[in-house]
Amino acid sequence: MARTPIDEQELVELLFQRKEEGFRKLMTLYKDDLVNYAYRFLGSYDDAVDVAQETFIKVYRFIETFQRGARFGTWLFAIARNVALSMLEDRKRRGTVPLTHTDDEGEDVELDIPDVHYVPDRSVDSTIVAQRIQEALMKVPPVFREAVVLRDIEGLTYEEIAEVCNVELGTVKSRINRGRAILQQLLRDLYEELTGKSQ
Amino acid sequence: MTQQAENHNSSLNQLLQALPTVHAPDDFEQETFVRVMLDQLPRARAPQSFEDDVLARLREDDQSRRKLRLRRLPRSARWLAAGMGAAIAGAIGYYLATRNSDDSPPHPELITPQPVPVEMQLDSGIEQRLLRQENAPKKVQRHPTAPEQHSSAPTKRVTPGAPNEDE
Repeated sequence: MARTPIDEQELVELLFQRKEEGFRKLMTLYKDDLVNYAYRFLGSYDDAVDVAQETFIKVYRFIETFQRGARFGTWLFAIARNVALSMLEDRKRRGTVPLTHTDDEGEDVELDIPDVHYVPDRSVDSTIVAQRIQEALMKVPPVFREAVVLRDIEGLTYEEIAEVCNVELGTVKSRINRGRAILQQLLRDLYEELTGKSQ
Repeated sequence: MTQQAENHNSSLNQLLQALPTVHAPDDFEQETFVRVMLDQLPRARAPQSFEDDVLARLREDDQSRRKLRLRRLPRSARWLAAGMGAAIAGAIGYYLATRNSDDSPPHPELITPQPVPVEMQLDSGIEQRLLRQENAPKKVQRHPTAPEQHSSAPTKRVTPGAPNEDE
């Protein structure tokens, strides 16, 4: 989230004036961060892109609700989080996780797999190590997973995460600690395999 | 000069020594471990056409909203017409009801009803016959001034006042 605040403010101002140029530049600035966050949280690249697109559509529609002077990135992540959570709720309601993953021959294969059996998206996580880390991440409960992803992958500060998740700072810290502890347990074997020594 | 520099250094050292030692947090190893592992994850990138896709979706949404509005219009128009019809019917009903009640006298017992000509259907020829009789020329009927005297003469009738044929 290292952005030049002045540039960002100017772009937001252009967006307030419904200028497509400003909106396009803001998308270019944040699209990868949003897609990566949503992908690491949801585990599906297509869903992640969908979340990011939906987020920007909401931004365009509800820019009037954004308070000038507030951090735009935080607001953006808060919207993305809500969109991602509703997608996760939708999955739970359906009881399955529709996944499109790329097989060994490069073909997109539609899968309808229960949430507990996560299949990594090979189009993003091409290495075995990355697939296993993402697999472990998907086993962390969503409430802790989002905190870990926002802190350790997206690099948001504790204060920013508190704002995004709309919770107290103490809650953020405990969620991150809890998430890390679970992830450490899950990744211990992989670490030993990789380094040849026990953690 | 050298003495002064030495004094300055020693005071600086004292100040630095007074600073508390900062320790690593308890979860330092855990945090580092997790970060090292997560660092191996590649970053998922948005597709090249991302911006165009979002703008296209926005335009599609706008168009579908406009279509939806148009589709909804006849229904709303129908409801409007039905509402207006009901209102007009109600108004007419109200007008009629209030008009009738205005014509009716507030105290009907105090007002003498207007005479109403009654026409009766003639159901028999009696009335016509009576009418005919009324219109027909009346026979002159003489009222006898004196009581009729019966004479003993069988054919001769003496009428008082009449010229005497015998004279």
